[in-house]
Formats: sequence, C-alpha cells, structure tokens
Amino acid sequence: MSKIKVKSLDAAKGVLIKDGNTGTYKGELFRCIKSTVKHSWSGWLLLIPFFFLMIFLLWKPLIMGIYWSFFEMKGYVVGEFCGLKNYITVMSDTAFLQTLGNCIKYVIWSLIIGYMIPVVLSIVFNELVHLNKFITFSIYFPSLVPGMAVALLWYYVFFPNMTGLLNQMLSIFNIAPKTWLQNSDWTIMLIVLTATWEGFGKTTLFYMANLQSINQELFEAAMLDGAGILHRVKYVTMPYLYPTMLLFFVNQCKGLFCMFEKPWVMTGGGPNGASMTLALKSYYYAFNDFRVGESLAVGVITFVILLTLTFVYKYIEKRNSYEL
Amino acid sequence: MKQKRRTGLCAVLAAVTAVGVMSGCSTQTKKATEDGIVEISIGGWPEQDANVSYARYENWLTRYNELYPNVKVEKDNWSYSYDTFLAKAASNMLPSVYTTFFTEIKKIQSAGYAADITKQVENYHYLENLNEDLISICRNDGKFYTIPKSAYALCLVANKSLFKEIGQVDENGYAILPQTIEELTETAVKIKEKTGKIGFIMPTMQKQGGWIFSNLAWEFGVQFIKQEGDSYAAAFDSQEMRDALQWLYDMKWKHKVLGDNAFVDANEVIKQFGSGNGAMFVGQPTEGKIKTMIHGYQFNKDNLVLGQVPGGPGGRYSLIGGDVWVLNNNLNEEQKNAVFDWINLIGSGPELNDDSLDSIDSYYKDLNQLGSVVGYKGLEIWKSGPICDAYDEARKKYCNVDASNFREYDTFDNTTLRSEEPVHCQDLYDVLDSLVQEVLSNPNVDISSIISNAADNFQRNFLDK
Repeated sequence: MSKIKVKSLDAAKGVLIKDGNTGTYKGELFRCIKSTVKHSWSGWLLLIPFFFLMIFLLWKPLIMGIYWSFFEMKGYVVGEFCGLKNYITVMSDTAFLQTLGNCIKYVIWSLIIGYMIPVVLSIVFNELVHLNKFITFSIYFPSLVPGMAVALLWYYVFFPNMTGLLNQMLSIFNIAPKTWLQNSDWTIMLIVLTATWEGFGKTTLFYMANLQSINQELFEAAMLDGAGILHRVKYVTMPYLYPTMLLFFVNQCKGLFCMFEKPWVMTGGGPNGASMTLALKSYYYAFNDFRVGESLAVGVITFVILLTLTFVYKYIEKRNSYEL
Repeated sequence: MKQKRRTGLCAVLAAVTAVGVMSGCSTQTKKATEDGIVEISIGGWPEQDANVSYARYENWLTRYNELYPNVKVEKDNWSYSYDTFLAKAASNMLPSVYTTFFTEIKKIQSAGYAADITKQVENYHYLENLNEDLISICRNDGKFYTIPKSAYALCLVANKSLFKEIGQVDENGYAILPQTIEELTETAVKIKEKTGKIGFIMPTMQKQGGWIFSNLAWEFGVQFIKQEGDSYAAAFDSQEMRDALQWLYDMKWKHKVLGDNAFVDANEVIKQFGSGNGAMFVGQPTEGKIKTMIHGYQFNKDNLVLGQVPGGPGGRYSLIGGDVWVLNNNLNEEQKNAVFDWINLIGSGPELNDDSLDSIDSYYKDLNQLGSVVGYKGLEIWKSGPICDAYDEARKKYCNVDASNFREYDTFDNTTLRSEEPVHCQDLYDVLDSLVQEVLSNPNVDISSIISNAADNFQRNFLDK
C-alpha cells in the first residue's frame, strides 16, 4: 500500500515539473489544488461541516487540554501559566510509578491472555464446515453487552464470598472461597480476563474475515507440495494475518494502557491502588478532587506514551510494507 | 439542471450540518436582570412523579410568586453529584442555588464556583442564629461561601431486630447499644455467632472508608495532622493509629464480623444494612439514606436505632457533617437576595413567619406521608430558641416512630463533636481508604509498615506541596 503511495507521489511530482512551462513548482501545486477543488467542489462543501466537527470535537479539546495542562486551573477557569508544575505534582506523587506500572501490567496480561486467542480461534473456526454461523454469533455475543454491564456481571462472578459464582463453583469441589479481585496479585489479571471475554469475539471476526480473503489456490498449492496443517498455517495463513495482528497488537496495547471503565466499576482502582490506571487517576483528579490541571497533565502523559506507541506501529508497518 | 439541483442540495446539507455543529458551542447563562425581572433557578427540584415533594415545591413556588412578583423562578431537577458537577459548572449550567455536602465545600470554593454570600449572611441574620460549630465550617478567611441546610453528627446505626435476636435489649425492648469500641466488638461477635449476619459494616471505597475510619481512629486517640508554625505535618504514624488499624484487622480476620467484600461504597453499606444482612455501621442518618433503606430494601423503620459512635481510649468523638446551600458564583446581589428569600420561605432560613412555619410543617407532614422516619432531631443548625422550638413542634406532631430508639443520638451526652481535619481532609480520606482496603484484603498485612508509608506519602504528596 505504502509502495503504491510513493509511486503516485513521484508520478505527481513528475507531472508538475514537466507541465510547469511558466510557473514555479508552488504555482503548479496551487493550480493542481484549485483544479481538484473545482472538479469536485460539492464533495468538498459536504466535508466542511465535518471538518468543523473534527476541529471542535477532536482537535480543539486535544490542543486545549495540552495547553491548559501548563496553567493553574480553578475548576475549568484558566489561571496563571505555571510551566511544568502540574506535571511535577503528578509525577512526584508517590503513587504515580505504581499507576504507570499497573498500566504496563494491564498490557502484558492482555498480551498473555487475550492476544493469541482470537488468532487461534479464527484459524480453527475457518476450518469448520458446519455450525459456522452459530459459532460466529456465539463468540460475537459478549461484544453486544455494554461495557458497564460486562464489568458488573464479572464483578459478581468474582464476588469474594459464597454469593460469587466462581466461589460457588469451587465449593462443589470443596475448594475454599477465594478473594479474587481483592487479592492485589490477581486483580489486574482478572480485569484483563473480563476485558478479553468482552472483546475477543469482535477481534476473532476480523481475523476470520481476513482469512476468508486468502486465495484458496495457495492452500491447494501448499497441499500439493505436501504441506501439513501446521505448515499451511505457518507459510500461508500467518503471513496474511500478520498486518492485522500488528494492528490489533497496537490497538490492544493502547486500549489496555488506558483502561478505565472496568477497574472503575469492579475495584475503584483498589485494593490500595493495585488496579489503578492513568485514565482512572485522571478521572479521579478531575471529578473527585476538581484538580483539573493535574488531570490534564496525566492525560497528556498518557497521550505522549500512546503517541510513541503509534509511531512505533507506523514505523513497523512501513518497514514491513517495503519488505512485502 | 440536475447538476444545479445537486449543488443546491449539497449547499443546504452543508449549511444545516454546520449550523448543527455550531449550535453545540453556545453556552447557557442566566440573565441577571431584564426589565426589573430577576431570574433565578432552584436546583434539586423534585421530578413530577415525586408526588408529595413535587406538590410541596409547587406550593412554595406559588406563594413565592405572590410575595416576589419581580422574581422569575426556574425549576432545575439537577442535584449535586461528583460525576456531573464539573461539567455543569464548566458549561455555566449550574442552577442559581443547589445543595451539597460539608465535605465538598472546600473543593467547590477553591475551584471558584461558589458565590461570596457574606453580605447576605449578615443581612438575613444567619450569624446571630446559626450554631457556632457550623459557622466555622462555612466561613473561610472571614467570608461565607455556603450556609448550612441541615446537619448531623456521625452516629452508630443499628438494627433492633438483630439486637433482639441476641438478647441485647433492656426490659422495655430497646436495644442496648455498645458504648465503647470493646463493646462494639463484643456485640458484633455475638451478632455473627448467633445470627450469622455481618456484625459491623465498614465502607472502604470512594473516600467513605477513610471518612468513617477517621472518626473511629479518633476514639483511639489518633491525631492525623499537626500544625507546626505555618506548615502541617502528618502525625498518624503513631501507636494509636496502629491500635486503630489492628482493631479493624481483628474485626475482619480474627473475629470475622465484617463482610467478605472489601470493596464497599456508601450504597453497598445501605444495601447490606437495609436488607437486614448487617447489624451496625457508623454513618450519617440522612433523609435520603433512610428513604433508600425503607423503600429500596424494605427495612422496617421501627427497627432503626441511632446511637453515638462508641468511645475508646482516646475519648468519644463524632464528626459533624451535613448539607449546605451553595450559590452560583455568577449571580448578582439581587439574585443572591432572591435566593435567600426563597430559602427563608421554605423554612430553611433563620426568619420565622407564617410562611416558613407552614413550610416546616409541610416538610415533616410529607416525610410522614412518604413513610420515612420522623422522630429524631440529630444536630440542630440553629442555636436553641424559637426556630428550634418550631422544628421540635412539627417533628412531634408528625412523629411516626418510637422516639426512644433515638434518645442517645439526640442528646450527644459525653460525645465531643468535631469538624474535619483543617487541611487536605479529602486527600487524607483517600489515603485512609487505601489503608482500610489493604487491611481488609490482605491477611498478611504489615500494619506498621503501611502506616509509615501512608504518612510519608501523605506528607510528600499533599502537606509539603
């Protein structure tokens, strides 16, 4: 994809230079833009409201959030410029490193628990001849349940006494009830499990759609060459899934890094900060303590970390597209 | 022709969408004064399906319009909540007046959303009539930003039917409440052993755990913050604090009288108690909470008993709490006066006249009709005198429970009423929440170590900044 883009750009450049008999390169560029707008101006006109929408709903809050994070905030009233004070306050908080570490733990647990499940399931389901539609619906079903409801549902599954579903099941085997979410060593892992249950169906469907677009002749050719199922997966399926896997890898890292609703509903960030995330911390700063400056600073820190991750993804994607 | 029609359609669509987008950018501001008409909005206006309360508010409004025809009152259903406050305040959509809790006063004030009402407090004779303990809570640097609406002192809430089951009642059938921390433990153990119910419900989340624990810790003699010249120091890395947390640890792991869940917020406390699964908790007997217990969980109001927070080696203390009126900071003097006139009319101000007496009467009459509890006074916001007498009279008239169940709470004998810590009390509650959670979720907790860390963190994160 990127390769094609590069070629088109070169071609466009060539046209501009060759056709530019009188004007400069800049003049030609302007003429080219003018011509594009003139030929499809109604389309551009329709885009204008959405351009404003994008500015007001996406860019303005983002830019203002970054800008205000350098100011003393009284509620949402901007006070004096305070430089990095909000950042220093947030980062010198003794719980900051724990919270940052928790975010990384969320990501690691999500990669361990949830990353490969959709890939494996999509490959298995893709091989199925019967019950395809039923299985597709069954795995997609949890994704239809609202996130808050999922969190509440699993909160009661993990309830620490005998009213908790898991503890009831354990009691059948005479196993003593566990504290589940209240055990600080388990809490992040269990929250990630909840998020995986909710999201794996949707991801599996993406992978299945990808698999169904693979040319069947490739599989047939591989079989003629004597490739078994594992070799077919390794040499035919995986190379096709790789770009999607990379995309979901980054998406999963980003999504889990700023996990909010599950810990908010299930543990409130506890016990003793063991499941606190940067997003939840930002929420607490803003809405519990009315410390908007600090909340924005946490938001910007999270944004920078995720932006870095996105750049890494773009770099890997670009490198791989050249290799393909 | 077709091209022109398409172009026209595009232009219309674009214009409509752009107008739609831009219309979201307007802000709502209350007109200060227009043609001599003063506009105010009253927050917490009941929903129309709230029957009795709605009718009462409508009657007040009719009377207010008769008395003050130049004031236009707008009804606003919004009531204070953490989640919505900041968004409402930022978009300038807060009502002219609303109520919030004592614990929120400093936050709202320091965020700049509360109006300076010092002049009105003086002109409307609040200073002469308010309970001295409450004046200091509402006054900051000599100015008033809030005025009390109602007040309470934290108390021990108990379920009489469970006390009867364990035989802890006197000859008249009234619950014998624990007076000391040791007695509280003993009672909770008896409840657990004989009924299998939770002996004592302890909140742990959303600063509720820290808030309640701070009161319990005072009974052990804990001092949380001490002033050193112009600065403050965390003082709770102490033996008293270790004793207080050890007591909580024992309640959970040794006596097993607390619930299994270590994530307990205020709603969960009411749920456990109201559904009859818990015998006691330390909390505030507000109208809303009692209403939820009775109507939400079918708690029999005759089983509700209120007593004082049990004392300990450090004394016997009870934290003052309650609701305050807050006025929007963008009101002018005329609007502020109009709001104070409203507060007076509904019987929440210091002025006694036929209208305010009617309002006080109708308030208790409605509570009675709704099946809520009328019969205990708690903490009066006014100095003793005609206003308190008027409230007492109305309460007696509509009393629907045996007032003896509340006799301990109404007298506050032997209990010292205390206000919150002077600085960073919300942050302190947050820190204490974490301590309580750690103690109640980790049977191997090192209490000394977590207290040292918490005190150190509190000092570095808040008091030193």
